[in-house]
Amino acid sequence: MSYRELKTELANYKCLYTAGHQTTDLYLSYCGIQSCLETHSYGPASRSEYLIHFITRGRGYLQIDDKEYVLTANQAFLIPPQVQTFYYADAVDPYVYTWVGFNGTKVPDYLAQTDLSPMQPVCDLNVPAAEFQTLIDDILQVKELTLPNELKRVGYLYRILSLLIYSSQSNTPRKTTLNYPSDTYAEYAMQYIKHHYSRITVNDISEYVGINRSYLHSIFKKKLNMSPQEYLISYRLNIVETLLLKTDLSITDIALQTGYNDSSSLSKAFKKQYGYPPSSLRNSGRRGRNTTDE
Amino acid sequence: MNRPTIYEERAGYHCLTRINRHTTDLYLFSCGTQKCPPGHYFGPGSRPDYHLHFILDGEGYYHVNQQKYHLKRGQLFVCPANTTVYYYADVLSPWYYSWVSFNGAKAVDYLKRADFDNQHLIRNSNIPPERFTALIQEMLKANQLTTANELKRIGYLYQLITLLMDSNNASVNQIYNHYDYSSDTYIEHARQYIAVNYNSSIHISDVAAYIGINRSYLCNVFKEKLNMSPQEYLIHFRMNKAKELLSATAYDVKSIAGQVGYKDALAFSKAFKRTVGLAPTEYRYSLPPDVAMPSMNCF
Repeated sequence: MSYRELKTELANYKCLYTAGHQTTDLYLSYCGIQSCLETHSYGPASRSEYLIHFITRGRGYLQIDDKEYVLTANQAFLIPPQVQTFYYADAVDPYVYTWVGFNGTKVPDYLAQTDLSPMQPVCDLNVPAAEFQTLIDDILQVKELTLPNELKRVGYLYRILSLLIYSSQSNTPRKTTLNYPSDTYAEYAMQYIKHHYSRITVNDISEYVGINRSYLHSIFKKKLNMSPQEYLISYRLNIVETLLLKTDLSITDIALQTGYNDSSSLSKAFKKQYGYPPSSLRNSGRRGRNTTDE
Repeated sequence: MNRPTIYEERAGYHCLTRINRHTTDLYLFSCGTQKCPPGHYFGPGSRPDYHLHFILDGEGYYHVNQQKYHLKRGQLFVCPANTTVYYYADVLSPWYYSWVSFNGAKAVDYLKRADFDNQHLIRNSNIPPERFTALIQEMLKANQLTTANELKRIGYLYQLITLLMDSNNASVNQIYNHYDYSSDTYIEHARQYIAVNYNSSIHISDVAAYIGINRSYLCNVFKEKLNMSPQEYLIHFRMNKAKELLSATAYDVKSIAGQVGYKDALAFSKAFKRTVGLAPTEYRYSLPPDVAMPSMNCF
């Protein structure tokens, strides 16, 4: 395994090259930061890894696959491996960018979650490009050829990709990219309800799980044949039932513990679900229990 | 792959568990923090992943491989995968810990590099447990079941593993004795560094510090692979650059000395003569007048 790592620091140019790695899913090839001079250009050239530039300021141009793209601040552009490209800074307002080159067996999967692809090499960023720069700066701080430092760099690289995916998916109002089986989402939501049932709304659930409300609704319908709202209510009322039968707490106390504002809203919900008021359950439960006890 | 992620949050207990994964080198199963009630225990039982605990406060007991340990604040303990363990909180001063559990193709290697193996499952840490816990808190915040959040959690897990590798008191003295890469790799790295920095006044200690190995080990690998010391290599590299400049430009010797990293033109001339056999000016005049201009292919 060959390893090449090289850091150069000039006034407007900072760069770290690494090649060779001890991770296979994802590894860093190089990264850097540059304020380009007017008409600064790179290429025509191709590379053996994926390279993403994040533009923090200014303008530039990218030629790839016989197309030319105008690049502006807060955009990212992707150069896939083995594709010939040429890119250059605007003569009047040259761009400032940071870049990261990487590869690994999982990269195509990760990129599929972003707005960048070989077909669409340029995208807008919905988080400030400076946030990417901060992470790249962090990588530039850990240059030694030691395993801890390599893993630290990989850790930052994961966070860069995470941020890019986050940015891409907040692009179109929740272009829901579903990465997990629907049962997984349902189970995750149900666990969340289990621990937070007394103080959450369905919006909280979808926000927590990271999917939109209507998708959450459809997986609940499919799996449980009820909406998340109905599930939440029946979950609460199950707890109410237990408390009615097993404790001497007043209906008001039970209401407050299970997320109802007062005893009357609990009674209303209870009656709607079961057809009789909470007090009659307690009375009949008591009677039944007393009989068996004696 | 059907491992749902479960997040639990109760008073004193925060946990993210059974997390789906898109990585194979290293992946997270669960993480959390827990203020254990007195006598709270796990086991005897085994789990399919590595559990790493950071004791933030209090005391507890850990039984593994017929050994019993009494542990307290600041110490770390690992429960290896598929190994029966039993651990419990002290009754009077129950422990409060944070934990992370993980597995993956590289998990054992990484733990070994952090000085944990089947014979070494507990140790002290020269990094306070709060710093590990802060990373675990960041993972807990990335609770969404999205790839963006999963990669964020993995990013923090890598940072935590790195911190773990740096946390052993014992290895502070021997930090340079870990050689994670082959000697060829170190040499290539050193040569690249020299190729970029020969024009400033770097020393071999800079090269060694840059790579993260000690000077004598660097000398050994150079001697072994290139049959010269790094110092000799650096001088040769500079003198070759100087030869290019002497033949391709009309710069005076003082300026060329500066461009190859010598502040002192006299020291440069001496080194040049020793290496090339001629003084710099003699070398320039010895060249045939139509010498091809070598390409000035600097980095």
